[in-house]
Amino acid sequence: MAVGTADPRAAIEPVGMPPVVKPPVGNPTPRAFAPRRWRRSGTATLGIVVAVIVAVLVLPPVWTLLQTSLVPEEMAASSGGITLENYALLLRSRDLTGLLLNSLVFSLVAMVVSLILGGVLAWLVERTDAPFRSLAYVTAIISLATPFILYVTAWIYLLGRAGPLNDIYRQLTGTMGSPFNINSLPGMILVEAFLWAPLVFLLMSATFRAANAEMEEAARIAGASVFESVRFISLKLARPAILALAMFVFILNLEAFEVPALIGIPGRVEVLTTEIFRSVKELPPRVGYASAFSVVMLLVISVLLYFYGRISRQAERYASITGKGYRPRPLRLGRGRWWAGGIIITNFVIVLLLPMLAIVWIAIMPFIRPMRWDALHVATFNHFLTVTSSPYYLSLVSNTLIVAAGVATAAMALTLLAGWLAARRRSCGQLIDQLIVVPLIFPGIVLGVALLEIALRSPVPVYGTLWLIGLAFLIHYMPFGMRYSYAGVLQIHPELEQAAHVSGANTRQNITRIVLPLLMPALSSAWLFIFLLASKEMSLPLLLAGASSQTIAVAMFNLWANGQGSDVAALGLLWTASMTIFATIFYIVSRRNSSAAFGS
Amino acid sequence: MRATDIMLEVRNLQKIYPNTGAGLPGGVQQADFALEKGAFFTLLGPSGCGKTTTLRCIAGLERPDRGTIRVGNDVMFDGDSRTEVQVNLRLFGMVFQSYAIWPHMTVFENVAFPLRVAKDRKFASADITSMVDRALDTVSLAGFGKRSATRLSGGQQQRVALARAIVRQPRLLLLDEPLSNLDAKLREEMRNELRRLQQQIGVTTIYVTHDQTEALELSDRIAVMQDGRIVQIGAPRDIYFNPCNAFVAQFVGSTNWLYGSLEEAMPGGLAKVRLRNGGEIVCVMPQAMAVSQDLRVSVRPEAISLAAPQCHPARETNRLRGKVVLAGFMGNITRFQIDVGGVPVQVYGGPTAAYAVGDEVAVDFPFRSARAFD
Repeated sequence: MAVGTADPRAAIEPVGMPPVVKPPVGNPTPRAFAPRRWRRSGTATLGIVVAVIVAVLVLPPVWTLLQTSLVPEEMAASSGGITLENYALLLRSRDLTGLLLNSLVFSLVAMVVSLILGGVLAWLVERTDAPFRSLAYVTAIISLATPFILYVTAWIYLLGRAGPLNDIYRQLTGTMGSPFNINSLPGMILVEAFLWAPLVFLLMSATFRAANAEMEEAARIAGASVFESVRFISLKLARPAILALAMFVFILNLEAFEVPALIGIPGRVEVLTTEIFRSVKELPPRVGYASAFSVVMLLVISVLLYFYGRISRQAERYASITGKGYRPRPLRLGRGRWWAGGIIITNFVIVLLLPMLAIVWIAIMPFIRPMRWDALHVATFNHFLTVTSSPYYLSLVSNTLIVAAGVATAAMALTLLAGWLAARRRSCGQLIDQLIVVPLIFPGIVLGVALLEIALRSPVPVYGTLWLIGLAFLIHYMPFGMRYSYAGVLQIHPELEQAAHVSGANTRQNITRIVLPLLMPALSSAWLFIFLLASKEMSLPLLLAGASSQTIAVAMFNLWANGQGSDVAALGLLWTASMTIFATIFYIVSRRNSSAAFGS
Repeated sequence: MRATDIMLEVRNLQKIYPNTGAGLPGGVQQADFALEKGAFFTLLGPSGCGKTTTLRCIAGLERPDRGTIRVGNDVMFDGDSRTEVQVNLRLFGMVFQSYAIWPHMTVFENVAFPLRVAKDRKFASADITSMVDRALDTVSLAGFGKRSATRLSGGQQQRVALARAIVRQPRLLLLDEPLSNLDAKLREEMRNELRRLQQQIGVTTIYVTHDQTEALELSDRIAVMQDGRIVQIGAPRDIYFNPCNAFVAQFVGSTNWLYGSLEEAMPGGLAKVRLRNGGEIVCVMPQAMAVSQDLRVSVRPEAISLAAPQCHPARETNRLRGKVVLAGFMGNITRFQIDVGGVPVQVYGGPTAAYAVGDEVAVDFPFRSARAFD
C-alpha cells in the first residue's frame, strides 16, 4: 500500500496524447508508407487486454464476499436466496461492540505510540547532530526484514511468564507473581507499536529530509527561535504528511493479524481480524458470518483510504514547492546530544537487540525457560539441525521461494504494462488505475476468506495448491508494484518515447526497447520488495495453505500453535539471515547493473 | 569611505566544505570587503565560487571557520573571540532562490511572520496590518493579502518573498539568486523593480548572482569571486573596462583573445606585443611581465571597429587585417566574425555596418581598449 506521503500522480499534470503524426508523404515505398484506414492500434488492444486481466483478478473477491454475506448459512452458495440474516446475526452478537472497541483502541493507541517512537527518532536523526545516527537506519531495516511472527514470538517470550522481565522481577522481590502480562490489550498495543515504529521512522525521515530547508531558514532569518521555527513552520509543513502517515499506520493496525492472533487470542482479547479467522476455522465454519464481517471491514477501510488519499494529496501540494538542495545545517543540541544518542541506542536495544537475543535464546534452549547463565550448559543446536535436515522444512523453503519469486515476477510484468498505460493516459489507463488499487481495501485475512470461497466453488481443484496462494499474493501485491512502475514511468520524459515512435518503433518495441530498460532500476527494487513481503506474509496464505502448500510463515504459525517455539525460532533465524544476505546481494548487483546502464 | 559610513564589514572570512559533491573543496577561502550604507553590492561568480556561502555566513545560516562580520557597530560574528549573534536575532531580510514561501499560510501571514516572532519588541496587531500592507504595496501586491500562498505565480511568490524580507525595515537585505527561477521577460522586469525598490527604501543590499548582465546593471559595486576568493571589487564600469585578470575579463562580458609574446614595455603602462600569427599591437599591461613572455590580449567585441583596408587608422589605434567569415544582422547591432590570420575575432558593428562575407577589412581597436594578461 501507499507508502510515504503521497501519490506521485497528484503533482503531475495530465500528460496529453502525443501529437498526431501525419503519415509521411513523398517517395512512397508501398508497404510501410502507404496510408491506410484507421483501425484499432496495438496500444488500444493492449489496454483492453490488461484491463480485463486486472478486472478478472480484482473483482471476483469483492463479488464473492458480498454474495456469500447475503446467502443464508445453511444454504450453500448454489441456491439463489438473498438474506440479510448474516448482518442481523452480526448486529445481534453480544461481542460486536467489544470487538469494535478492541479493534479501535488497539489500532489507535498502537498508531500513536509508533508515531511518537518513530517520529522522535526520525527528527533526531535527520535534523540534529545526535551521535549514532546510522545505527537507527540499520535497526529499522533489519527489523522490517524480520518476519512478524518471529518478532512477535520474541516479545511473547520477553514479556511472558517465563521471560526475563518477569524473572528479574521475581528474583528482585522474591515473590512468585508475574507483573507483566503480555496477553492483554496493553501488551498487544506495545508489540504492535514496536512492529511499525521502524516503518514510521523510515517514512518520517524521508519527509524531514525532503523538506525544503529554506523554509526553516527563512523563518530563522525572519527572527524566529529554533522552537518557533519548528512549531510554526516545520511541524505545520509536515502536518499533512504526518496525518497521512497516521492514517496509514492506523489502517495497518486495523488489518493486523499476527499480534492479535498470537498475543490476543490466548488472552481472550478479540479484534475484528481474529474474529473473522475464528469463525472460518470453527467447525462447522460460519462462512456467511465471516463474510458479513469482512464486508463491514472493507467498507470501513475504503472510507479510511479515501481520506488517506485526500490527505496525502494535500501533503504533496505542500511538498511541491521546493528549492535547491542545500543540506540544512543540523540543529546543534549541545549537551542534549548525548541524551539523543541515548535514545537512539535505547531504540536499537529495544527494537532489535533484545528481540534477536530472545530468539537466539529460544532457538538454543531445549524448551522455553528464563534467561540465566546457569541455563547455558543445556544449550543445544538440535533445533537448527532439525530444521535444516528434515524434508518437511526443505519443502517449506522451496514452496516459499517459488511462490514469492513467481508472484514478484508476475506482478511486475503486469504492472509494467498497467503502470505505463495509466501514466501515459493510454487506452483504458484510467480504468486500470482505479481497478488495480481495489485490493488495498482487503486485509490479508479477508482476502484469504474471499479466495477460500472462490477456491471451494471452483470447478478446477485449486484449493490446497501453491497456485491459489500465488493468485492471492498476486492480487494482494499488485498495488505495490503499480506504485513503483507508475512513478517510474512518470520519470521518463514522454519525448523519449515519442522519439522512439518517430524513429519507427511500434508499441511493443517502444515498451521493450525504451520503457523497460529505463524502468529496470524501479522494477527490480519493486521485485525485491514484493519478494520479501510475500515470503514473510502470514495472514493471507493461512486459510489457503493445504498440507503440501505451506509457506514458511504459515508453518511457523502452526508450529507455534503446537508449542514448538524453539523450532520456530531456529527456522526464523535461518530464514531471516538468508533473506538479509539475499537482499543485500540483490541490491548490490542491481545497483551495479543500473550504474553500468546509466553511467552513474 | 569614513568609518562611520560603513554598514557591513567582512574581514578575513573563511568557510570551507572539505568535500562537496564534486569531490573538490568548496566554500569561501578568503573574503574581505566593506559596504557603505545604502549600497547595492553584488557577489558575482560561476557556480561553486563561494558566493552563496559568503552570503549565508553573513546571514548567520552558516558558521564561518574564521573571520569577522560586523554590521554598523555590532559584531555579528568574530572567529577569534568565538562569538556570534544567532541567525534570528540579526534581523536581516533575505530572499531565497526558491523564495521559501510557506504554503500553509496566506500571503499576509507570510509577510507578517517576521513581526509576529519579533523578540526585541511586540507589534500591535494594527501596526502589523499597516506594516504588512505597506510592504505589499511596495512590491505592487496590494490586495493580495488573503490569497493562499500556494496560488501564486513565480513572479508573485518572488514579490511576497521580497515583501517579507523588507517588512521589518532590515539593516541588510540579502538576495540569493532571486531572479534565476523566473523566465527571461519577467526577470528583466523584476530586475528594474528590484533596483527601484532598493533605491526607494535605501536598504543596504547584497545580491548573489552568476549572471553578469544582472550584476552590471543593478550594482553600485561588484565583487567577482573565483574558487572561493574575491578576485576583484569595483564599480561595474571598473570591472568591465579594467578587469584585473583573464578570468574577470572573460567572465564579465564577452571578449576576444589574441595570443602572443611581450616585445617591449612602453611608457604609460603600455606594452608592445608580437602576435603569434603575425602582426604587432600595443595594449595596456596591468601587471609587470618579462620580455618575450607568452601572454594573451583581451579585446572586447564592441571596442573593435571595421574599416575599409585603404583608409588610414586613427591615432593610437591598432590595425590588423582580416576577412569577414560571418555577418549576422541582429537589429540593434551587426555581429561579425572576422578571420584574422587564422584566429576568429568577434566584432559588434552598428546596425549600418555593411560588410559582406568574404570582404577584406581592416580591424581597428584603440591601444587603451586592449589588455594583456599572462
